[in-house]
Amino acid sequence: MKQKIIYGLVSSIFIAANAITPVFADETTDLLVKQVQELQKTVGDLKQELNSVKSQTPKSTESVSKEVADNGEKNATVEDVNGIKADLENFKYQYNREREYNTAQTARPLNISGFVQLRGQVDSQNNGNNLTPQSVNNNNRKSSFNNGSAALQFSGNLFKDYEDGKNLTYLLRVAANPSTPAGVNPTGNNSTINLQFASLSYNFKPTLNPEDSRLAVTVGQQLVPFGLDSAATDELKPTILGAQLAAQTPNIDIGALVKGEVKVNYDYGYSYRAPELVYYAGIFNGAGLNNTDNNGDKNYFGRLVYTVPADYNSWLRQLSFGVSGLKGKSSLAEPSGAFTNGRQDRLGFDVYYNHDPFGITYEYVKSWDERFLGTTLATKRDVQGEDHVLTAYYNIGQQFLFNQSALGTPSVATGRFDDWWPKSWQVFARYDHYDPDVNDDTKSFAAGSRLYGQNISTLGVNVFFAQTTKFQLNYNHYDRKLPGANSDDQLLAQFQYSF
Amino acid sequence: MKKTILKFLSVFIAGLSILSSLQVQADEGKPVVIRIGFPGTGTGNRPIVGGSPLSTAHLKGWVEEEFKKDGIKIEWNHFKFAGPGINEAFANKLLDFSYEGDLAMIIGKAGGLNTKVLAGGGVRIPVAIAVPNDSPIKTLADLKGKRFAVQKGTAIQLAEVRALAKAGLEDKDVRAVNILGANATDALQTKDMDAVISIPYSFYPLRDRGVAKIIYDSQKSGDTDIAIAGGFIGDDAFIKKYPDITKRLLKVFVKAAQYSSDEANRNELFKLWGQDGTGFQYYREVYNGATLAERQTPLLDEYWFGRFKDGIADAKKYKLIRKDFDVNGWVDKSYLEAALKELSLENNWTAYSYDGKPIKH
Repeated sequence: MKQKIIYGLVSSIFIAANAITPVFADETTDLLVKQVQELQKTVGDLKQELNSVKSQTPKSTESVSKEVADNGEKNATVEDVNGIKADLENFKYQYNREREYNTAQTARPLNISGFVQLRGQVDSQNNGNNLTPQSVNNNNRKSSFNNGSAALQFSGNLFKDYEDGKNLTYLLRVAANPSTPAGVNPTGNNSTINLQFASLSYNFKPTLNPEDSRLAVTVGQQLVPFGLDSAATDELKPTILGAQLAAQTPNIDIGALVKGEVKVNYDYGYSYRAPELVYYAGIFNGAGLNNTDNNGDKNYFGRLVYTVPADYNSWLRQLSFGVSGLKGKSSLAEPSGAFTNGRQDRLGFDVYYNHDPFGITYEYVKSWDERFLGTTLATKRDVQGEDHVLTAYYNIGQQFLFNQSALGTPSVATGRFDDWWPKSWQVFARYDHYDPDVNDDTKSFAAGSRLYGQNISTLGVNVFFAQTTKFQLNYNHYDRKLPGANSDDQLLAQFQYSF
Repeated sequence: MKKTILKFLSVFIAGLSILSSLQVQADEGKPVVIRIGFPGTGTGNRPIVGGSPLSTAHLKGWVEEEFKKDGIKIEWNHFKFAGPGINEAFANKLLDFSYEGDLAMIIGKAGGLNTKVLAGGGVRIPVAIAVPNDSPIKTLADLKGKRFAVQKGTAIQLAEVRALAKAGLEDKDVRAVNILGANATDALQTKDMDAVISIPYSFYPLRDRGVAKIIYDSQKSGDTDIAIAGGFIGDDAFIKKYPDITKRLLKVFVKAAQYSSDEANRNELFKLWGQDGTGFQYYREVYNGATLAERQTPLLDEYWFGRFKDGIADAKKYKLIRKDFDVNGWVDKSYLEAALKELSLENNWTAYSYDGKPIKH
């Protein structure tokens, strides 16, 4: 702009100068004066224009263009910009101060979560759900409010691999056992807080792409994924009480577990990820939660899950077949007081078909245990037990659908201004047949050396009325096989919330 | 034991029957609710997405206005997982209508979703590829072997394979990583990704902060064959059950398309859509050099059919779908034509031929 004006000024002077052609002194003075006056006027105009431009220039450098809807009609002033700077500095100060004083800080990324169960139950029998015969019923207790489980969990990344997603993660969970209403006259607090999970996992293969198969190793105290029910955490189980096969299968143990996938089918149209084959191989103490190994042998665990390859929209979606096996030893107390090792083998088969809104699962577990039984532990037997668990459910609502969304499975898959969550209902039925001692030649055993099981039939409804909160109502019918034991009808109600 | 199981299951099934019948009764006559979907969410997961006639209808409240007298609730669902989330919702009977981009629509239909295309509205949407500001990547060919973020299963993926093909590359020639839109631009900022493909305005804030640079813009390159097309689809069962409701909804959609196509509303429209966090100025920039009508047209013209026929062929070619299908059998123009006639808008939009040029009558 300046260049143009200067160029114009010079040009004008040049033109004006040309206009002053040499004149002879004898020509009229008037003409000369007139030309000089015109020249002066032109120079004056140009000076005025130049001054005008000069006066505008500092303003344009001090103002900041503000692209607003009316396309530059409003300009921010220096004061406006200074005001924003001051606000920003105030915010930075406030943020740093609040972060220092009011924000919990950790050395590594940390996710804190947990759940709590609040329970109440009514039984048809005194001291309900008590496997021993009710020979003493003095207190006539048929109902109770109880605490269910409560857990606090910490998890996160110890090393995040941005390149390939070969992350190193940790998990720590402490949980309180429920207070149990069993027994004729339970008194005192029998609930304890235990370390439940304490593990470290490393992904040996890249995890960034959902279509890639994964391979991870977890060491420490962890859930042994034997079958379906044992491997499911409390947050995901439809029933309030777990299946009885938990008594047969390893649940939480200390050791190392490898989990790998073969041939992943990923339906990008629905973000549906389904590895065709998932394999697990593990080695554990076999002594359970928070126990050092109590014998010279380790327990060896393996599991294979085959999922039928299918697109999301196929009726075969989420149809899986699994087999699980465990070979191990348990520590047995002999009648003499010495300890010996006993057989502890498990074999399981399961079918899982979860095709929202309905699903059905079946699980069978066979167990072989060497045990000393009887009142004097005199009888050493190879006890074989078995369990069949059949569960069917039907969902109304979006709870499970959104929870199962892929791509990292955030719990809320839609954008909302408020704390929106669709109410969901789940009705289910379960039949659980458990016989810890399938040899029914009862007469050949000494008193107390025969184990008896029970069948539990459950009808229930789960109502999800907030994102992580559900109300559960279960009706259980206990059909007890122990001679003299009464069957029990039980109504269990529970609020479970997680955070 | 068998008797017990049978008895138990019969009680369970009886309970289910009662629940099912209750559901059906609640659904008789007119729908209690019309559930409408959008691909994606606005900044900060806000339930606003601009850029289409459906966005305009949503933000203006015209659908609620239309069905208020019937007491029908309108439920808007903005899916973070974009097209795949919409397909999941359709498959599980959780959605009645939606706007969707081409590839997700195609994958859904090829996979057996029972949807019908009712109108266009949201075509010729440009895509861009951005890289960190100091990246040596300058051309599409430079992407070979690089970590390239793309939201798979969405229309962006189809644009990605088409853009790579321009440089003689295939998907396998890059290290394609599936990342959601906002996460992808974050990864660009932290340089965890070498390049990201998305809608151009996703990159404008990064560009303006000097963090990223755009190395490819389909609009500026004149690559109309890479631009995204989309459509307004509905659940076939809902359409058959409630044809009058569908007709009225399409009328609102066409009215919104007319508003969104009117150049007199350009500034107002960008302000309206800008509520999704994109901002007025970035909508203005992405529409620079384009008319509103050419992108907002609800017409299912030769150009629209061409884009989808090519889309199906490309999706098959790049193994994004297993089987193809006939576009003609998927489209139901009757509701759109009725709405255009009722609103006297039959000649409001220019119809385009396969090559994107106006059809002269």
